[in-house]
Amino acid sequence: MTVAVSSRTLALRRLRRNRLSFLGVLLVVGIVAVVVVGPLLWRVDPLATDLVHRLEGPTAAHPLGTDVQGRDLLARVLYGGRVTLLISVVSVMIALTVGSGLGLVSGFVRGWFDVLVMRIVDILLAFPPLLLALVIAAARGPGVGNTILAVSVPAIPRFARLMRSQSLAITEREYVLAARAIGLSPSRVLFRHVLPNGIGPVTVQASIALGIAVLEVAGLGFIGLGVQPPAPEWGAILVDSRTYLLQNPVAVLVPGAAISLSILGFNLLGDALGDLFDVGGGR
Amino acid sequence: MTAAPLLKAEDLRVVFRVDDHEVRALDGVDIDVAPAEIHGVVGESGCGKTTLGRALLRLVPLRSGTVAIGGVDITALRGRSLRRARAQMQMIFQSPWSSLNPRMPVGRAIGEAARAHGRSRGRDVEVEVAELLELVGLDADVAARYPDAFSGGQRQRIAIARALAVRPRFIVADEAIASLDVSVGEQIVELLLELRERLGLAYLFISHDLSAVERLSERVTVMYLGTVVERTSTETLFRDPAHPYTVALLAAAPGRYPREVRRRYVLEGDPPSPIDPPPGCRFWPRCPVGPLHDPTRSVCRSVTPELVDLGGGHHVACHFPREVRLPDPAVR
Amino acid sequence: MTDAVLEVRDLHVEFATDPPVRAVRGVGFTLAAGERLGIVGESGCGKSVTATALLGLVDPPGRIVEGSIRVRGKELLSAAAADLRAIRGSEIAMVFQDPMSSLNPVARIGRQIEDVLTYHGWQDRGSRRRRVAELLRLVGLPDPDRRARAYPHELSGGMRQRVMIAMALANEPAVLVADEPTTALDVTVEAQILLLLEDLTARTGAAIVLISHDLRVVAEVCDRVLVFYAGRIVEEGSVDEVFARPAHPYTRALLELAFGRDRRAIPGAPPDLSSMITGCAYAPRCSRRIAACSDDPVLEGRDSHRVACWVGAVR
Repeated sequence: MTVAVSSRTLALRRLRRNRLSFLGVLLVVGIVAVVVVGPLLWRVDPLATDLVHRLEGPTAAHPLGTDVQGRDLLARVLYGGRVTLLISVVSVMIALTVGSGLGLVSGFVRGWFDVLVMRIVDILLAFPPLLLALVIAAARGPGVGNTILAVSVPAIPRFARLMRSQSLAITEREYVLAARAIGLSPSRVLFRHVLPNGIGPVTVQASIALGIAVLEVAGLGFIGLGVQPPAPEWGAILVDSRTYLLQNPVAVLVPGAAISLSILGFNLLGDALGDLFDVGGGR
Repeated sequence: MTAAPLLKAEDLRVVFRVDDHEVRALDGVDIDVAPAEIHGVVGESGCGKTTLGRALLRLVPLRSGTVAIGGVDITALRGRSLRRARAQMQMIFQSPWSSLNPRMPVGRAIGEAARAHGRSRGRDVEVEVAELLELVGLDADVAARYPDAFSGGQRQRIAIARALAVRPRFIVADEAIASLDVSVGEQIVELLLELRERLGLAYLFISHDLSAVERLSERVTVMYLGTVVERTSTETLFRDPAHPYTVALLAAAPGRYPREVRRRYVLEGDPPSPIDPPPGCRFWPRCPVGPLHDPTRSVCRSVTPELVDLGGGHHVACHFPREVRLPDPAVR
Repeated sequence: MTDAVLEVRDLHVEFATDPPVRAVRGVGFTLAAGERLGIVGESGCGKSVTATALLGLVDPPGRIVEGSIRVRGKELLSAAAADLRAIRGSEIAMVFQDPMSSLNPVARIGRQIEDVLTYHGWQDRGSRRRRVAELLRLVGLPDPDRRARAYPHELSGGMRQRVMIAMALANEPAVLVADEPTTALDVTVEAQILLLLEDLTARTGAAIVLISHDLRVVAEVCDRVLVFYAGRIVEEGSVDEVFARPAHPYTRALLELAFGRDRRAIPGAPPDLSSMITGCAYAPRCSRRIAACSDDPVLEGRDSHRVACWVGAVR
């Protein structure tokens, strides 16, 4: 009796988890598809001003209305998504490459290199990531390049830590010992044996980091330290529209929702990857 | 043993740091293996037998001591030259589940080993992988599969093929059959013997299974807490063990002696940890003829016994050898 | 047999994996009071699954699909969860292979043994304490009061296994199931634990089911032996008879591997338990295979020795 009940609850729990995972994949794929394909279909210049049609509510010509300079908000949100997501992805890729590269080597060679890298990582981890991003952005000024720097640097330590612990554990496995015994060069051992077996959790972390990156990019845009006007960017659109919340609430709701859904999507995707990784790696 | 040793190691010391303690995993171990010899190493967990195998391949840092293979000292080698020297020696591990990279097709793992020393490349590697797989008794067409498609015995064969791919003369087999079922383990033992015949390989056969060691080896080394306590020909060791620890090991092995004999020789206590080993002879706290049973034998507590030859190459490290004797092996 | 403490009939266990694996395929045996029964076989033969089934501990995706297990006349498979828990520990108890992972790492061992006692109705704290000390002394742990305050990691592997045995014996069960209790231990420690198990059954009158891959261990401890292959019993009988005159070719091969001078590996591998097996499961690896082997052999012989084989009859 107990057996039947517990197996049913287990199945139910898995189903619910699967549904959330599915939702995560759907959200991410959907948002990416919309910002990639959208501008191709909605061929309106997001920078074209039209002072006659300022601050309009939704109309057939402007489904989301226009902003204070009469620019089409739908086009701005679509293009803005490209900017926000692209900056986030590039930042995370940089953080992932630098962070996991450092961690991989640290865990493998150990010794003074490991001590040095990990102390730097500890120092970086002592600051909240958002604060660190703010400090970098404030020090270096606004702009795309600086935004990428401000978002990627605070994400490096987590990747480094994670990959180091993976590297430490996998280096102890017998197949790594066997690879060394065969006489493979250290770089081969590292890239053919340690890296492929340690990358799983890093992809999970990357997905979660993407969520954080979207928040930071939009946040920096919002406070004026990110991408500069007139370039569209979700955070910047949000801050522009905020003043006219009562005239055109859609102009605030849509970019806000885009930011939130992206973050949610990346987090759910991270959970899904985590499950996938557990199932694949368990024995 | 008249032939010059293929492998010779002297005074090996390996120290690991665990928290704030020093673990002396190997504390002055000598060993030599002749060409095509099978040299058995037995002992319980923590005796250093696994570390010994890894130290010979220079896979763990040595605190002191020398390792030479084919008369060439490899102790000081580093980097590329060390990797080249390792090609003469290989290792087979205990667990065929963790000794193969789960994300690499087995053919690629073997091919990587064949390619490592630049002897074969391109198409030749594929041919060589196929030959190696057939040599260890597998079909050549399994090369594209991943390790999880194989049983434990098959994986162990693959691990052996990978080791053979660099054409070694000496293989450390570290508990190579311990995690396999008896019938499968026996297949691996037969394979190892066949490979010795065909390729003239020498083995260091590390095992806790005395009967496997007895059947395979020409000589046996018994280890306890990082030191060698006895070494002699297999026949002598099993007929006339001289160290009280060896006697206890033989008596404890299931199925070797009748119940009453085992009962008489059962040791007290557990093997102590290699952190802070006892001074003097490391076996005295458990020794049935040591100072705990004869208070006049304080020498055991203070003086570390040397490994001395009792005659005919029967080496033992004990102040009072041959005191504990076993009855004649049970006739079955 | 009227004095049987354990009766297993036609037990089938299936794992709902993809494809489903039928790990135990019709196992039946009885265990007399105070008897020492060994179950031997290689990995995947169903011996450990049978052991967990004896305590009703088969976890999903595993499921007992058929059969009956009676402990002192009480049917386990139809018992309510609460009754089942009461039977476990007081009538039948288990010792596992790895004592480290079976003990709670953050609780003192005395406390862990006490918890078992409390659960089974020992209300008085003083008598629980005395019982803990008595149990630790029983399993040969000197200075029991000090040991009771130790945490699992402070003990050696052998001592931890002694603690597990003490815990299993806490309520004087009629049956002690020990699943590879010495496999994780060193030889000299294994010898100690095997002697302890022997002494304990003699002293407490508990019957023991000892599951092992090592025939030599079974020969050491047990009176009777079941040989498992591919989820079935292929031979059973007294240790003296089976080991002296093995009737099944598989038993012979195993004995040769364990004791013989002239060992020969068994070719091939055990069958895939996710498939239907018709006829004798061992036939594909058997050197004495005949035409009749394509039919299912039945376990036949006399009380002291039975075999399921068309070729090797009990002599």
